[in-house]
Amino acid sequence: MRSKTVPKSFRIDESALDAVEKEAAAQQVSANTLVNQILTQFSEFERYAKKISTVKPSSFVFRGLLDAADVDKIIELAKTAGSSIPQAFVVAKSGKVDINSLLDHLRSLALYAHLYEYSENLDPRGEIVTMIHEFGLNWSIFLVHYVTAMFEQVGVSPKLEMSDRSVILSLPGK
Amino acid sequence: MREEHMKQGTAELQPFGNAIFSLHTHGSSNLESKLKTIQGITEVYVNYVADVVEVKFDPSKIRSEDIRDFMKKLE
Repeated sequence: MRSKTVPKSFRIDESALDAVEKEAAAQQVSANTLVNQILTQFSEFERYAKKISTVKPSSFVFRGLLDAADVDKIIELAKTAGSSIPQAFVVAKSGKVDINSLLDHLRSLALYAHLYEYSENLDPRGEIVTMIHEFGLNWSIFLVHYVTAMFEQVGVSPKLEMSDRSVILSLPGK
Repeated sequence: MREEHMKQGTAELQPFGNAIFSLHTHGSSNLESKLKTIQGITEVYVNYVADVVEVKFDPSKIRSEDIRDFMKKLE
């Protein structure tokens, strides 16, 4: 979402500016908006993602790899990844590992990595997070074990439900 | 988002919803202004670089599934 903006001047590569202006015109937004969003993506995600050697396969390849994988191996990988990667990410970003920073990590994966669509409902009874995707049952299985291992690191056991295209996690209220 | 909402300091937490949808799946022209006409939606932010739209809403008035359905009808 939007936050406070400040004026700042930079010299940038001419071809990069040309690309930004063309894209801005195509999207019917200002070059200023686009540059701000590019820089925000870098500041909020890319600079941390490169620390964990992130790669970007196409959704077609990603889905194909998931479909071809052995479920037991997926679960094993999800547990290992979920107990280490989110912590490394959030410590680099916010300096602390807690429920809020881990939820922010899940939100970032929707915003910047397109691993699922994300929604969260918060009320005094607790928080419900829904992740909807098109990568099949093996991706839901991965997410369930990744999220479980992730929250175990802060002593939280969310209730989880899944289908072949969604994972829903429920966290109790404070 | 949860932290931001709790910082508002209300003794009783007000219901709050936030959703991130893919523009690749649900893209539409003038999406921001169309979403803002829906009751219960409080804020819309289209991110053209990340290719997503982020929507804040009041879950006592609308569900994220309803917003998704609305966007699907616009495709």
